[in-house]
Amino acid sequence: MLLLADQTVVEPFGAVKPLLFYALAAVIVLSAWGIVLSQNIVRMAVYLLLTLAGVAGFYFMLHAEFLAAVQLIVYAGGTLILIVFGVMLTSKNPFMQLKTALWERFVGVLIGLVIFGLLLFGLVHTALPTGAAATGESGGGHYQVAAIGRALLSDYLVPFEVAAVLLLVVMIGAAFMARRSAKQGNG
Amino acid sequence: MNMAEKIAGVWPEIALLLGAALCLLVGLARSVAIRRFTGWIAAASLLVAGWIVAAQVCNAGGVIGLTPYIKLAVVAVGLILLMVAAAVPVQLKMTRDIEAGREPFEPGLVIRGEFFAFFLFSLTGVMLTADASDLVWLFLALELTSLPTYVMVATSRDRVEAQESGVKYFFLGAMAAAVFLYGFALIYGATGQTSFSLIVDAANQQIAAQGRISPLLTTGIVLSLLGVAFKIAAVPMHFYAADVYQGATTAVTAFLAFVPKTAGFVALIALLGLLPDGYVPPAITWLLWIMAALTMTVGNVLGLMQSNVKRVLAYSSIAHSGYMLVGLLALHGSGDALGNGTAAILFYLVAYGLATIGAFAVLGSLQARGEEAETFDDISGLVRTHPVLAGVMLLSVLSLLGLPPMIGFLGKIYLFGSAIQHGFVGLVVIAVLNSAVSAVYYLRIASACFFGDSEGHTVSTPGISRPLAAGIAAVAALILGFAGGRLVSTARDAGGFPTGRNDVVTTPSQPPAATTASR
Amino acid sequence: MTTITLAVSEFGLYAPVGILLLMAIGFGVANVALSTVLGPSRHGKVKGMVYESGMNPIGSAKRRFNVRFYIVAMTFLVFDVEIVFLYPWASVFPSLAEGSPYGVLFLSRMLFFVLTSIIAFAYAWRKGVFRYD
Repeated sequence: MLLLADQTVVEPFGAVKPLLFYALAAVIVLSAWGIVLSQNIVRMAVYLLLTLAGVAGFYFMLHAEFLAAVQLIVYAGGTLILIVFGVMLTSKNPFMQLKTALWERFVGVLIGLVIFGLLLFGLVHTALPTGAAATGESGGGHYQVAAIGRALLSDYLVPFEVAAVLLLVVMIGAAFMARRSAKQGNG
Repeated sequence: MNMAEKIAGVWPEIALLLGAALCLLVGLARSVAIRRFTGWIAAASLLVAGWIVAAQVCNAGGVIGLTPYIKLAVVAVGLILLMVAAAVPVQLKMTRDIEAGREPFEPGLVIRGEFFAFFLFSLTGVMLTADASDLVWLFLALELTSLPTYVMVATSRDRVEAQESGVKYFFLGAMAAAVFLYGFALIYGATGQTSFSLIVDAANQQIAAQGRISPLLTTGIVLSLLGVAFKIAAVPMHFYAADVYQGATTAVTAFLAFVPKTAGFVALIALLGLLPDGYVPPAITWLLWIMAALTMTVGNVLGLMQSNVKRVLAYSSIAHSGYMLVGLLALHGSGDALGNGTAAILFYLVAYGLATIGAFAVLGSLQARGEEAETFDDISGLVRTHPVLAGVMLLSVLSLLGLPPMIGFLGKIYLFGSAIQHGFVGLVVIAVLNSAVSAVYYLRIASACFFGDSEGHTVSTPGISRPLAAGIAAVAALILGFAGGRLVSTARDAGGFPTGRNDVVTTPSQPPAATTASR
Repeated sequence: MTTITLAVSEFGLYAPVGILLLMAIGFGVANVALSTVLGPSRHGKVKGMVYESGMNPIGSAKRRFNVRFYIVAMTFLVFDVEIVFLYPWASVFPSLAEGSPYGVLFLSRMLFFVLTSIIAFAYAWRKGVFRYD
């Protein structure tokens, strides 16, 4: 983590960085539009995959390799499978259409605009750190993962163990509910 | 605060977690007699946790800060809730059939341990919320509070409505979690810190440099407040409350009305504690003002239109969140309870909790046509069949209404008093008008109990624990209403410790901010 | 090392991944495109039949699946996340100094973490989550 502290701070990807950024941003934004506008839930899942993968690309660009890998493994890999499974388990036909009423769209757009305005207000009026200060002194690769490990077991120990308990609750809750409804369905 | 102190602080939570794990494993035993122990294990672990908190308070010289106050309140109210909820697993047909020997034992179908385990997990979450000194911690603690409640809502009743409301609650809860997590991310982005005390430092630096905190930090706090508003069922995140409260079994409804709400208010106090002393951006003041006014009004107006007592109480719980939001505006206050919004909220949480749990416990003690009592018809003429329960219901609604000598009266005095001292007279006028409106439906419940015609189909449920819990809650609300001084001073001491600055033992009293006092 | 050279070497680190990605996409697209362009397109009853000793399909593939598959996916995801937490611990643990007092501490902290998943596993086992009947 501190290895590069006295050297020039690395700008990952150097000159192609802006190009990469806009390409990834386009993928993320367009596929996010796709999720919202599509009426087919399986297509939504695919668009979601693109969005999540694009965000993982951002993490790579920010030199947060571990986070990027986790994003790909847990979200693009795991959660998306769960979504598709959810479709297979619940709908009689996975290609059913999700239709929204006009007022629902209106309310949705309104909420979206409010949040967009809020974020825009926050971003425009704040001087964001740029360059070295924004990317931080990250050594990347193995050192970064070790630093995360050290942080998890020292400063963030309680949140770390609480996360374990949370996973326990999730696991038991899912097993409990699914097992129960499976039996109810049969009998 | 270093690591060792943090770990020393969470021993009560560890006790509850051990209890929860024991409940889970004992609940899988083959013998019914052993499985029945799970309720007692839950009670024992709550008592142990309470004893640990008490020991910690004694070691600290008897000073009760915000964290121990919340923990003690959670233990005390949690024990009452446990009495209300003790019979929930037996209400389920599958569990009953197996325990009566009508069906062969099948571990997948028995529900005993997991209910109490989820109960304890959720209480652990509230305690951890009170401990939180870090955004990551706060998020995980809030989720630990909420996740078990989704399962409790969906599985505690043999009805499809329960599952429907569980699903609704889960999806909306997940959305709310996404909103406040995004807010947390923006707070981190604006300050570069996750620790509360370091965020306060960063905000102070921003004020020193620019005379204001950065708009990104404001945006982050606003989003966090909106997301956490779901836990307290405040406008605009209130719409789930009536459906979920009605769909869940009454004991779980009582749990929902107190536990996530407590966690939500503790989190809100912590989040507003991120702002430097005496500085509240006008945007946040306005947001809280509007939220408080709308929450009270929506809760009370919709409460007038209901025919189902559980829905009435759900809207009443929304309205009470509105009253407590008034206290949030007076957060950074001077020492006495009348000027200190934190202390007023801490006191009101207990006052509201006792009264609302009393009311729900009465409903849970009754059944009509094989279902839990929930309509006005079901409690009509209750005084002729169950005079004690009718009396408890009367005390509870009077306390919710805020009539002296009940504890709810003191609570409202402190809340509104602290707001007036900070110059929010207009909001207090709205709140008092709302209290008057709420009298209509509270007295409707009371008059149904006392003057309605009994149709004789309402009978009490087996078991003494629920009526007993109702009685304890109501008597506590009455006694504390007469002798609330001790609790008030405790709440006042506790309110002197905003969570962001746990290390400061004596906070110098700050004059209210110019921005807030100008109104 | 100047920023430029570092940047170039950084880019070089990811270049193989990028090239592999391009090759994979190119291979897929090229195959589909080539076979539509070059291959003959004939459809018929015989061609649509199940291949050799395959089973004749019964019913539609678009049907509701048993909920137990969901539990499998859920279990997978939960343990997936647990492993993600194990990895940073594993990469810091060997770098602790020999005989350092933190060794036992770090180990016990991770054991607590793992204990929760053992409880979850024991519970799920007893509840018959892993049983297919």
